[in-house]
Amino acid sequence: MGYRDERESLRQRNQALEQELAAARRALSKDRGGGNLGLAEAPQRPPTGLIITAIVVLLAVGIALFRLGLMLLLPAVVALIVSLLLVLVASRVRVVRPGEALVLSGRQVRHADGSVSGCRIITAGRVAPMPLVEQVEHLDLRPFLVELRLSKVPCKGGATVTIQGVSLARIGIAPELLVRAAERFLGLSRRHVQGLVGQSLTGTLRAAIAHFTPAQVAAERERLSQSCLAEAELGRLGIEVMSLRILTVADDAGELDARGHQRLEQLRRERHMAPGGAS
Amino acid sequence: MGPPVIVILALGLLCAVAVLFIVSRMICVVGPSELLVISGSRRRIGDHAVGYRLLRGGRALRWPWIERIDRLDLSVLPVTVQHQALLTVDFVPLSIEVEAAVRVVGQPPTADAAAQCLLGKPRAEIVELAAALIGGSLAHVVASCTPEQIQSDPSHVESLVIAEADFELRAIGLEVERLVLGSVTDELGYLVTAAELQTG
Repeated sequence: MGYRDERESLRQRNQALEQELAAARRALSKDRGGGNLGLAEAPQRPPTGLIITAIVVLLAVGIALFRLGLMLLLPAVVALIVSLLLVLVASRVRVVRPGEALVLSGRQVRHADGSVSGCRIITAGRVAPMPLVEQVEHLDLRPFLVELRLSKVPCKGGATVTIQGVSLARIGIAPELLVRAAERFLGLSRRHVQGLVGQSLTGTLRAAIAHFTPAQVAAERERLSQSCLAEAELGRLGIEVMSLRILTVADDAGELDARGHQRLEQLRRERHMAPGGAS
Repeated sequence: MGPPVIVILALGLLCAVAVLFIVSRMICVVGPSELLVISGSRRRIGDHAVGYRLLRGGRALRWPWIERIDRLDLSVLPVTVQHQALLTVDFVPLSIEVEAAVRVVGQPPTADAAAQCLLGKPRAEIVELAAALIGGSLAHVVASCTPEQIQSDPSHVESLVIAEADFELRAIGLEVERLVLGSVTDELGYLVTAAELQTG
């Protein structure tokens, strides 16, 4: 049957993905010399107070020298150079806003426990990447919508249903999710990430529906979405699903329609039987 | 013999202008219907570090260049949700419209969620997110009600939808201010029959 093949191919794809993941993990652990996650703390706050004090002292010394009439040019030149350096440093600082993470790659980072990793992920504060050496990339951690439209999904008992759903997902903020997401989604557009997550959810929803009859899909949608989420394991991609809802359900054989009509007929009968209700 | 007075004056003026410029970049003022997010300095919330602080109303000082400010609009967002063929518990398909008003929450801890989830998103996109979450909750609630319940007691359905959507909306920093069930129609003619049964 068609859906058997489909499930088989899904399973194969899952296996392939898993192997890929395992290989990536091995490479990662080799790279990092352990199971460390490679999340570095944002660097210390630049010594702003120190810089301001230095400028003030410099200006004072400059003015003193000026008043003494000694070396008019030197303090001015020094002040100029210092302020240029300051501006240079300030313009390099990247502030990490809430809802985003910066991934700095290109320089090995040694952690407190002695392990070494190839990139650092900054989720809070600010960072001044080293010029030329470090490359900065940006991960959007804000949630996005994924619309799910599945048609002619085979159900238990052979009927097929068409369903519409909506899901809210985001790249997880937990450190281990962030690392996985950085490996997969770095540099991809939001639309691309949406597409990948949608594909994954659609596939597992399809597989999950196979265990439900059309009536069950409509009545037990909570259980369906729970089992879909449990199977999707989007945590492996570094994705956190915040909501998954099934909106509309229609079966192609018309079983659900028929049950709606049955209910209507029942109501009409009640109406005829009700005292004074017959017309 | 010192340098000419005019030179010293000019130097002082230059310094004053520089200080004024820096101070003007440091002060940020927050209006009553907005939430200011100052990112760049680390602080702790519970056991994890975040890189921002929130400010609602009033003013604050920030370090220029190394702290960045963003604003979140706290005004009310109108959301309209319209769904067709939502199945009730007895499989009668209904078309339901819901009018809601949501807003970004200004008080922590929900405000933290708002900063992390909605910062920089245009209003239209926030409305779209809210509409999707409310629509999902609506479908869920309708699936557990009969058409008679929806028709006879809309306020109960409204409170159910609010309760259902509240958790997910708060997770992204929104709250429902008002939610009203609009028109409820069905192609089957079920509601009309049910109404006749009740009155007749």
